[in-house]
Amino acid sequence: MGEFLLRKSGSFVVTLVTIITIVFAMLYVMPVDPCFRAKSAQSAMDACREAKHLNDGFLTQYGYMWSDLLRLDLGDSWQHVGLSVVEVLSEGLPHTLSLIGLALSLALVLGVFFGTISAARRNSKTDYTIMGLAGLAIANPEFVVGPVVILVFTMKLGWLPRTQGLEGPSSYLLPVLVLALPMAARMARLVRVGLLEELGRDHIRTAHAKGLSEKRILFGHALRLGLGPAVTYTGLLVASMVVGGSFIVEVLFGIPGIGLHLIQAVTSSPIDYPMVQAGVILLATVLITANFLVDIIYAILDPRLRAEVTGGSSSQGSWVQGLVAAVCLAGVVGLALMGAAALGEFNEPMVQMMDRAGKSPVSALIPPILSVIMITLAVWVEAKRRRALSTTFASATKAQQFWKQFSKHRIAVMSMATLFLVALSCVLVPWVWEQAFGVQYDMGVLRESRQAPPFAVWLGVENVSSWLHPFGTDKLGRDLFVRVLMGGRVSISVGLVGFVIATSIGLLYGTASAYFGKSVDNVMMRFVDILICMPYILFVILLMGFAGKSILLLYVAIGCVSWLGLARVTRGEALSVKQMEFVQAARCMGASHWRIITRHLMPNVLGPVIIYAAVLVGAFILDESFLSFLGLGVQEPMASWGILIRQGNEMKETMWWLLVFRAGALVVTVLSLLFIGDGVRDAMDPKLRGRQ
Amino acid sequence: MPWIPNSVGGSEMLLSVQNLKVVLSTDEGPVTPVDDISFSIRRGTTLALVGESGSGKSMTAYAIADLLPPIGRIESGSVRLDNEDLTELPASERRALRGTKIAMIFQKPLTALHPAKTIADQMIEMVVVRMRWNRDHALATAEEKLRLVGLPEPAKRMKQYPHELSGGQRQRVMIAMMLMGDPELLICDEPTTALDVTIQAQIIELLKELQERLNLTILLITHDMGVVADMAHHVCVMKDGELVEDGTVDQIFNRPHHPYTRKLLAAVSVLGSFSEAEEDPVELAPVLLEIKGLRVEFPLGGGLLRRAPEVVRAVAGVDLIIRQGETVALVGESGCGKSTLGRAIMGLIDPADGEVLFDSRAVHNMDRVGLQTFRRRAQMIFQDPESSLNPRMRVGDLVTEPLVIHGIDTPARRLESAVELLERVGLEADHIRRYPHEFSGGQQQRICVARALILQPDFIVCDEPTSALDVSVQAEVLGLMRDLREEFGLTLLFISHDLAVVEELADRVAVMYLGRIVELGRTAKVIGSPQHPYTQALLSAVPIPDPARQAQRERIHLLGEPPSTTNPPTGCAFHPRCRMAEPGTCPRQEQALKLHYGREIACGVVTGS
Repeated sequence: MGEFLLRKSGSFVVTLVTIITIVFAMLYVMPVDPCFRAKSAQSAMDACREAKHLNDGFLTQYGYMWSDLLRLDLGDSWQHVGLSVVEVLSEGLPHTLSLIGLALSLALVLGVFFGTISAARRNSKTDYTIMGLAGLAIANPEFVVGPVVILVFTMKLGWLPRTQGLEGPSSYLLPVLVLALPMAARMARLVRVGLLEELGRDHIRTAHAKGLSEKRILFGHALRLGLGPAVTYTGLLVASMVVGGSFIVEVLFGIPGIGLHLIQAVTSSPIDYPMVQAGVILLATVLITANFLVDIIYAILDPRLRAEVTGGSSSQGSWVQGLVAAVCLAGVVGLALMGAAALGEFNEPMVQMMDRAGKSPVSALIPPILSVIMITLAVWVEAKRRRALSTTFASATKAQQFWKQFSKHRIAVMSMATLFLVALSCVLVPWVWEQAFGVQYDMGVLRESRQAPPFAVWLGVENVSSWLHPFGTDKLGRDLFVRVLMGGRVSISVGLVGFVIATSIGLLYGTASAYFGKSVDNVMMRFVDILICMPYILFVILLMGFAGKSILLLYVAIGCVSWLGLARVTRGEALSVKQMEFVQAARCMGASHWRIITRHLMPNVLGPVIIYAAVLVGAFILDESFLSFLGLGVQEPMASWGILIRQGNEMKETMWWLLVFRAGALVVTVLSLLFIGDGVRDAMDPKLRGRQ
Repeated sequence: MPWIPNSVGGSEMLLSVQNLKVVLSTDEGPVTPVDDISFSIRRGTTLALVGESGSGKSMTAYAIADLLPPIGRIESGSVRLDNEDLTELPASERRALRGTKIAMIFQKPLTALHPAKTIADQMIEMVVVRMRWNRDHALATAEEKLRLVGLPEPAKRMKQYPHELSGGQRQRVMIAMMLMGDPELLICDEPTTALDVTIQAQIIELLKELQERLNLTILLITHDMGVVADMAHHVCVMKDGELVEDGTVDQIFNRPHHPYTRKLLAAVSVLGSFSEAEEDPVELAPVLLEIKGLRVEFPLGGGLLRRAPEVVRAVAGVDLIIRQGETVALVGESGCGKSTLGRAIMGLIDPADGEVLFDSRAVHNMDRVGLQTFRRRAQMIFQDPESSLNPRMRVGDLVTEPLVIHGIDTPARRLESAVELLERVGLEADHIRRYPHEFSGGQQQRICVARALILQPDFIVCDEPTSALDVSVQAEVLGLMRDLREEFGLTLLFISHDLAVVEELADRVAVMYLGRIVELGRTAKVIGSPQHPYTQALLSAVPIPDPARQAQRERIHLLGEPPSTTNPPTGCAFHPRCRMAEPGTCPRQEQALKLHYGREIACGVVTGS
């Protein structure tokens, strides 16, 4: 155990140092002048530059940064004049920590509890209900649940006081709950899957043979190891949810924590770089620590990991390899940043070009053509599915077997249909609308403003619109229905782009890494491990700071970090496929590396990877909405679900229908993707279906 | 027509199964793995339930122990234990019987034990939780049971985790654990299949001993006729869920009635049933493969800078010559390095030292052209046919792939060659469109053979090609390989742990232990009169499927556990377990192969050096 701890501590330090270096490098390259305040007088400027060592070389500045860091002096905040960054952040730290701590504890308790019940009563009504609710909780991210909850409980029902920040226990209730629910839901799903897998193992059969009760087997035998995957994921969970989610919650509820300060720092003008730097470093430290603790907990749970002599397929390697990975990473990131800066130059002309393209007659034809393609595709898939259902199991091909199993999951099939409908409407309906009404959907007729949807008349609302606007209109009189669908175009396209980039890079990277094995594998995976520790939110923030805000950069940012998780999953799968003898047989035949990777490894890795990727699409859509909600992503007048929800949030008190429909569209889409992912996973893994 | 079990007067029947029928409700509709089975076991005896995969023997055992999967149930029939019908009892009472009256041990001891609990915790769990024993009393009993099953240093083992023990030790722990409740009936589901032959012999001895001491009744599920001959008093043969024959072990082996029983017995290779004329070929064929001083090592994780990383010495210095047209067999137990040697020969693994020369050219330092030629002339067939075939490729593509890689022929010609070969190995032309999962294990292995032959190689390494197949199918595949060898003029390196299989096929045999060859010579000599103490123990441990001969054999029992490959014994690797070891010399000198009575042996004591 001692050696294990030593190794883990080593990688902890290396990762932390690497991330700090990257952040420093990014800010170094940034085209901003820390001495802008002193622009008035040249002497003041010189003095400032001298004090900040700005005339010295890169390495000297790097050295100074470390000495400052170790003295905990991170400079003065540019926003809050006169206050040092450390002061501001340390004021916010207790708020954030208490929020995160409570939410995490609640999430763990709820997640393990419900996940265990679900697994114990698999395929029963209880199981389906719990998993359905979990799905719902995941599909409703904090920035959807938050406003709705505030709307209902605080504004309409008045049960809870309106407060800003955390004062008194009742003000903790909503923020913690909103933050904890999606985490709890994810945990519950993971616990369920982990437990079901564990329950299918041989030693459970031995426990039955000993005559032990079901309860004892579940809690005494299966739980400890079944929690494994959930524990591992908790590390990543902390990264993505806590950092991102806590930001939203702090913004929504006005809690002056680190997240709020960081968002303010990024959205102010000019961007408050010292604050951003400090915030990023702080949060990265928290995340790396969380991962470190997770690894230790996992080792406590499973003594096999503690064994000195493992020789397993873990990506441990020596610390030298870790260092190599870190250096490569720094290099790559540097290049990426310079590329991003260059891209920033192209932003304006790009937008103009896209604008012009959007107005040309050719682009007007894209929606109907796309719709036809989509319908054909859907019909073809459905035909295959029907065909598969009618063949018997024994004579079916693998693909047909898959469809048969998938079709048993009725919700998944329904979700496929739902998703298709949503996508089709997003593509087709605005086009039809425009043709039918000749009105540009983003310019409204101002006199018909502020109209609630027609059916709201049953709720006693006045000023109801005609059925021409089934969702009502927003404050500028623009029809909401079409705007939601237009927003859908952007959001779904982000999901798809992310999916494509993630799959193409991640698949190849993971497979190659697994194939080449040993040192190459170790370095490549350390690369990924370090990068994963850097929460992508922060990465996007920094990137935005660099190159301004545009949808293009959004695609790039999401593409850059989305492939990481996929690469890891792919590598794991590829490693187990690599052990299969047909790969050895191919080598014996004299097959080239390329042939083995593409013809033998990748097709067999595809299955589980596709499941993971499908789930990712939902995550990307949520991510985009999240960023846009915070004001970092898509900008007006373009619509995306995130922006729409944000506007809905602003107006929720008076025009609640704005929030509901926009959020609804997002939730339905993400939920469908989730269930489809479930269906695919259950179809591919017999153990999870509860049959043997 | 089901056989009526022979009712034996005298001691009572402990277990009596009548007209048992088990049904599984699968996705595809109900399946009946056990259909109208009847048999009885007399107290204190062993009944073997024999059959190939799919015969329903395991399901029968699960039904008796009440361990059927959730989709299964006993449809009809009765299971009487001590005259009480278990099928009539409520679930809770049936559960109470498990471990106390009926105990069961399984096939793979590693996965059957809980990986994250100590041995002690696992052993006392049942008695402490269910029967409320005092914890200290339970621990003392556990240690006693461990001693009973012959586990050395029981107190130390109790604190360890399963992965720290060897396969044989784990199976002993399983047996001890299941004996904690002093059961009357012990059901053993293929208890030795996953173990080495010498360890298997130990476990079988243990079970026989326990039966005598504790008056234990054993229901043995197995497909291995040798184990049956060694252990059982009564035999029931099952096929496709039905009982086809039932009798004493003597009746079944010497006077089998049912054609399936006869087929099963005929398919089993019996060691020592071949005798070859002792003649050496007049002309020695040219050397095709030469291995010189080969060492293969694998580094393990662990070891920070200050410690040298640990190393597994899989192959620790091997010299071997294979001539054209020969079939050389490489035998040994798990961990001896035979598979690693096979892969090193094929160039799949790089050696730490030494070289492999194919047609006088070193395999591991070849340039691209040389390597391509080598890969045309040397092929390999693997152990598990299902995982040897890419599940996403059609059979036609799989078999023609070697031709595609080497750019031979047009696509049309390739397909023709593939069809030709498939028909030659006993499949049909239209199989080229199908996927591997649509075939049985034996058929899949035939596809692998066809694939290996399509380049018309000179040399094939066969790595346990029949180990994963059913007994009757094994015989067919081996017969096929023998015929093809003649037809194509192949040189074979046949790797196996099954000496009986090797006896039929090989001209020469090399016996490996811990990465070294300890005995090498013509098959008849080595198997007929083994000289090295390890070979003698190995041959003695192989159960002969002939109860009379088996009972008469003089058994040499190999003591102790297989040694660790990271920390091998000094000097002669075998000396800690060798009954002829001399304490002065054996731990000090590594033994090299020396000529001795027409074969080569690595043992100073025997050769008198």
